[in-house]
Amino acid sequence: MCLAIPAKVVELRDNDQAVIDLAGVRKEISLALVDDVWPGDYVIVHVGYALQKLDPEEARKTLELFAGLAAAEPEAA
Amino acid sequence: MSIEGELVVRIETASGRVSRASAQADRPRVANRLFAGRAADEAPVLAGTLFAICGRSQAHRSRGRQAAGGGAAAVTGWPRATRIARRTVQEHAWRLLVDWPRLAGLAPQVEALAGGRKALAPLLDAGEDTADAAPRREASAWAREAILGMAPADFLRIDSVEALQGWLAREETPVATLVARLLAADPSLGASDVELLPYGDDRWVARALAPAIDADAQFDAAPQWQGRPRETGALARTGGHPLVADAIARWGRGAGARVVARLVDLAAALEAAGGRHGAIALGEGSAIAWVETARGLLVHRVTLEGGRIGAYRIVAPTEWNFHPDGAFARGAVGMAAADAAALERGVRWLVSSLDPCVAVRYEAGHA
Repeated sequence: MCLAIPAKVVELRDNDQAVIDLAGVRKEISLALVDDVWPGDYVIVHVGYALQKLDPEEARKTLELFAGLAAAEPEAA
Repeated sequence: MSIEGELVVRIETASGRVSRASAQADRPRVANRLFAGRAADEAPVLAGTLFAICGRSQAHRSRGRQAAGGGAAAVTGWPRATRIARRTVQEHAWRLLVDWPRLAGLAPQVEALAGGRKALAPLLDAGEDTADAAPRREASAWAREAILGMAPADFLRIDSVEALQGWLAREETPVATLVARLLAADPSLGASDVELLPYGDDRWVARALAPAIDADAQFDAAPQWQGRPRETGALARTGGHPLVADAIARWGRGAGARVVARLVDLAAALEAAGGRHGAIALGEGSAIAWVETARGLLVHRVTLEGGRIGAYRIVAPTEWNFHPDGAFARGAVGMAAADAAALERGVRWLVSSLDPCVAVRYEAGHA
């Protein structure tokens, strides 16, 4: 299954590209599929593309859930 | 392990051929950890929040399960077939317009994909039983322009590979050019003897799949049916269409037939009422819900204990298709390995034809 982790947009670049911060890791993605995204916004990213913009409060709650997960013992594979 | 997940594809070669292939979905299996112990009515919200790519579908499944499992939540936004159809079209369009052109060395059609997202958006807002045909017309017009070069209904009338040749030769859209190139190269690439998962029989999911999930703690990671892995996705859904059946007869169940199936499935999703889904109560506090997503069958299985979630398991399409002995692993064995770059291209193409929902890392070595 595919997890929807909110990524924070930290920088806009040329050609519809942007730098995001995902759990402390920065990488460049494309904004070609979404409109009206600015630094500070949260987006859901899928293989290099922002899929949708998130409400900041919703993003915060989701990040807390994932933080709880990361702290928990990993499940046996 | 990255929390986003990654599919690590490992290829071993011997005597100029692929001797072994495996795919490890390196992603956290979190459903049970997240859901167990929570109040039953939290599940739909959680599922919608956590799962991006099939998020809508996951949320739908949870709601369905809720209704069937006797949970307290009000069932709002019951899965709408149009939503499932829209997601399916969007995902197929992504492969056809962006991912596959890249693999084939052609220009990705990102603008066409973005246009599709806009054209498909009204379908999301349209009510299930609305008499308004305009959103569907708009979506079909986009598909005609960007992908099919003809109305989806007309594409569905193409009933053999021979008849498809005319469509390929006209190259009315970049997608037709792409498909012509892919099929000219090696339409039998990665063909496997793995059978297709049953499709279209709701009772099968409830009566056969639910007990199979319950009996096997590893089912979520390596699902199988009657002791054998199966293929799910567009090919399994459209295998009964004459064009797809002909493609399978000629090329086997491999990358070429899957491309054709993808086109047929896209056209069918735009034409038909929408995706297949359902939810069935299997007793007090026990239910199974499912949806045919773009990638294949997605199942949520839940049992309640004292009004709280006891067990919550999700069986996703990627686990069927990338089973250790499944369509990818068996299809890759025997591929020519003399040219390392060509092998990687072929394997990546085979992987993409099975459409994992996570990024792919490729590793190759000698056996």
